[in-house]
Amino acid sequence: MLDIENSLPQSKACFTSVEVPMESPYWPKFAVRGVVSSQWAYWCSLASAAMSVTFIPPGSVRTLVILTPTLTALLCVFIAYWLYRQSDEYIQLRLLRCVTITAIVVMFCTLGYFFMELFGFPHVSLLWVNLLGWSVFNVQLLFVVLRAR
Amino acid sequence: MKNILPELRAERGWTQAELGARLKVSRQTVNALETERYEPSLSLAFAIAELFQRPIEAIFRPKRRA
Repeated sequence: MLDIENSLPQSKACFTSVEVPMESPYWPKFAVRGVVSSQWAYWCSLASAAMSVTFIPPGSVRTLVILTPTLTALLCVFIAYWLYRQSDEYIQLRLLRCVTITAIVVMFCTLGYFFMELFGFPHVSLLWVNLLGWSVFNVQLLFVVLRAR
Repeated sequence: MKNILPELRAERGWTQAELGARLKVSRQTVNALETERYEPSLSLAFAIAELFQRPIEAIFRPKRRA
C-alpha cells in the first residue's frame, strides 16, 4: 500500500533538506509557493534598488540595497533548479522546452533593443528584458507545475 | 512507440495517479506515456516492466514504418 499522505517533508529547518516527492499531493502547492515567493522577493528587491538611487544618499547602505537583487536573483535560479531536480523525466523535458522558448523570447528582445539603440530611439533599460524573460519563464514554469498534478 | 499501458492499468483497476505513484512519476507523465506523446527512458521502461511483471518488448512496441 502506498503511503502518499506521509510523503510530507520531514524537516523544514533547512530549505535544501526538504524533499517532497513529485507523486505527493503537496508537491504542486510547494513548488508554486517557491516560484511565486522567490519572484516576489526579486521584484521587491529590484524596486528597492531602483528607488534607492533617488531616496538614499550615496554610501554603503545604498550600495547594499542596489546589490540586493543579486541575492534574490540567485534565489530564483536556485528555486528553478530545485524544481528541475525534483521533477520526473517528462516534466524535466517540458521544463527544458520552457527554457528554450524563454531563450527565443530573450533573443528577440535583445535584438529589438539593439535595433532601437541603432536607430537612436530613447534608451530603455535592459532590465526590462531581464524582467520580461524571467516573467515568461516563470509563467511557463507555473503552468507546467500546476498541470503536473 | 506503441504501448499497452492503458490495458495493463485497466486490468488492475488503477487510476493514472495510482500508477504514477507506484512508478514515482507524475500523473501527467503517465498520461503522456499512455497517449504516446512521450517515450520513456530506459530506466522508466524497466520500472514499468518490473511493476507489471512483463518484458519491456511485451509492453512497448515500435511503430511500423509505412
